[in-house]
Amino acid sequence: MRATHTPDTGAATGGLRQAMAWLHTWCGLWFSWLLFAVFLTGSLAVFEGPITHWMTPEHHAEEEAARASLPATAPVASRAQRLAYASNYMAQHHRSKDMWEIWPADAEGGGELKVYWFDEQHLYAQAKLDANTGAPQPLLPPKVPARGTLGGQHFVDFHYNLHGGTLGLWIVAIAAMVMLVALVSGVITHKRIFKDFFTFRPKKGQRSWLDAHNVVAVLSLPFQFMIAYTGIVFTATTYLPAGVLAHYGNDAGAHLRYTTELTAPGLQPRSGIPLPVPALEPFAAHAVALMGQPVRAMVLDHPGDANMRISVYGWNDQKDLVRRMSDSTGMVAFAPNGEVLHVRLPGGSADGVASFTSQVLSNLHMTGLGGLPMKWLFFLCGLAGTAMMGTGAVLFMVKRRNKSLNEFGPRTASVYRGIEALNIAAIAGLAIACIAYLWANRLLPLATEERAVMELQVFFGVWLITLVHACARAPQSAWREQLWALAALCLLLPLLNGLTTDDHLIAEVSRGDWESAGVELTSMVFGLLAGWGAMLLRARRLAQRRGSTYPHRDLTGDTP
Amino acid sequence: MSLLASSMLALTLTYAGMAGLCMAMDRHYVQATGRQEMTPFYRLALRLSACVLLLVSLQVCTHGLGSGVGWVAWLGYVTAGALLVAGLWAWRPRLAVATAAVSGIAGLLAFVLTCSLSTPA
Amino acid sequence: MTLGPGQRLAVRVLLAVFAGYALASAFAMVLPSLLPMPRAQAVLTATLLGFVVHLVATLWVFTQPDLRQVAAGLLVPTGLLTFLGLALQRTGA
Repeated sequence: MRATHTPDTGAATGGLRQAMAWLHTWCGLWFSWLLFAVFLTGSLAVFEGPITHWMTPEHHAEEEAARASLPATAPVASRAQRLAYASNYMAQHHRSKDMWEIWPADAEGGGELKVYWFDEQHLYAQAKLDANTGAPQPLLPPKVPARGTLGGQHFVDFHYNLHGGTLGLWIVAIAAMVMLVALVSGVITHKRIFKDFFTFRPKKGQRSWLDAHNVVAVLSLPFQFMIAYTGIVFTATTYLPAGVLAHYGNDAGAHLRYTTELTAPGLQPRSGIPLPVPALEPFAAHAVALMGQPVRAMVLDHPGDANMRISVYGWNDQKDLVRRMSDSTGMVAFAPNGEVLHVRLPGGSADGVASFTSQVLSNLHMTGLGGLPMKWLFFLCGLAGTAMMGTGAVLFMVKRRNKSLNEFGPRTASVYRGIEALNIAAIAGLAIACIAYLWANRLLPLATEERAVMELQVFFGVWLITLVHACARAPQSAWREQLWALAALCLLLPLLNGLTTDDHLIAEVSRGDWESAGVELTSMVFGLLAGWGAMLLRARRLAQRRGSTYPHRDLTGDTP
Repeated sequence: MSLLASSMLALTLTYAGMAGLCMAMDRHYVQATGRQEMTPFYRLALRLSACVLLLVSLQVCTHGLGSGVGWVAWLGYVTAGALLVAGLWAWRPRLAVATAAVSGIAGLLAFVLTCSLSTPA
Repeated sequence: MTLGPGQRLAVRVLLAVFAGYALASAFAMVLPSLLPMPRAQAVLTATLLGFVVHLVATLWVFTQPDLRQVAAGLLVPTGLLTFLGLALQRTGA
């Protein structure tokens, strides 16, 4: 090969450890910024509920009233009555539909009566019926709240698709696969994985950053593998459809045929022989006896046909979910003559090993098991993963600030400068954007149109500003300034809340609102960490000024 | 035992256990005690105690959460305990050893107490 | 054909991503015909495992210096598995 200006890349050279080190460095670096964002928002998404609760203070009074108004005083129609109304309605208005879905009541037997079916585009359509009369009620558009907000759902959405629809979904999935590559290559290349298990040597520059990266990664390694893999296989057949396409045809209906067979095994196609829909209450009662849960929904496949199938789904009890690996509800499927076709106990595996495994994997990713302590463990491990990516990205530049490795030939210095800026914006900048989103929730005027969109615009806008700031200022200055900004915004969140609403941290704690208090207290902890980081950088700058060290080149001419 | 109590107990035990494993390593033993040598018996005793603490923690998790979820939770507590150990040992190794010893003893006592309380006399 | 180092890297990445994906897809296509379980369960199992195949293939690509060996190592098994998969389908497996 002719000699060129650009040195050989070093891919797949040397022994296994060296090749894996190369792979780990570059997979890790190019995806560190995206994965940091996915992990930070994912960790926050664990507490989507409390965050949404904090972001909708006007809703608290409504929630209190709803809690206080149970049990209902008005006459509550029985399940049998509700099912009869629903069945009559569907027979009258949607006789030809191939699927009827009835949600007769909530877990206590009260609440709304709703029916669903698939429209021409095979999308869900619905109607709400009055539980006491069976008459259809108009579905009112949801009341637009004064404080329009996505709440914590923003972090969930950003986490799994970057608010970018299908393209965003694919980008995150690809990042997760690259993360798996980085994890395995990292383990292979880590020579002293057991010797260095607990090793963290602070105040030693590059050595400390490597120690930190190793410690947070290795100690949370089972979690990291699990969370990356479960994140991908959540919607496995979306990313790897070859199996479905090969065995269910490669037309548009293949995926639907596959999911139908997966979720309703043994469902026969229509026979063409008409059979009136039987009374549903005996099926519901029998199902409750078999699966031990109150009725959540009844699904009739091929209603009015001899091959009709009547499936009954149960309500999960929140307490039971703590101990179950799978969050699947009880389900019983009947033939129209009452014969039991299939029983799945709550959290059970009756549908098949693969289905059960897939449900457990998804449930793991969504912290559906283990209750509140598990959510905190996932939050901690998620932050460890976030730190793993952050320390990795910083380590890359710390090593090369001392001595350029010239990986990009003559353009190396510019590339390094770009990586410095991206590190700052992706790590400190994203954190600032996240807390700014909460500030926007309190500061944007109420009753504005598209308020939720405006909050998102603040999130992305602030993030963009941090990128511009990171490019304009010298790296050390930019880090310091952004960390101080982050510390201030996080520490002052309770004060902001006190000034903009008629609620504050002490009041929250005294009435036992630990969701809101938790958000504010956790924000303050993040603020303290950011402040501590800023002070460490300040101490280093002062030490550098007192005794000069290596000359620090940067393109803006600003000396640190 | 409530979910919160068993969580606290599990974390206490894994923290003590991981600290035991840490102390049994030469470089961390030096950090904590200043002495270079550790008799093989001492190292073995530390590692065995650590294993006992970790296994008891596993029992607490699986008893409170069922076998499947219990293992997942236990891995989480092992991670949390290990991170605490690594952080504390780098900052104040002697404090880490002291807290680990207290945690280990208190944790085992609490476990034994809850076992004897739940079994009828 | 002499490729510069950047170009060689680009080819290597493309092979890892696309040829690796093809191998995983061929695997996910063949395996259900061989698994003794209901069709939908087998397809789901094969799909779940397919990601592991892509992961291992990608790691392997970055250990082999010779690009020709990498291409052969990915595309030949892909072709064989695809052929096997089609054959099994035609016999109604």
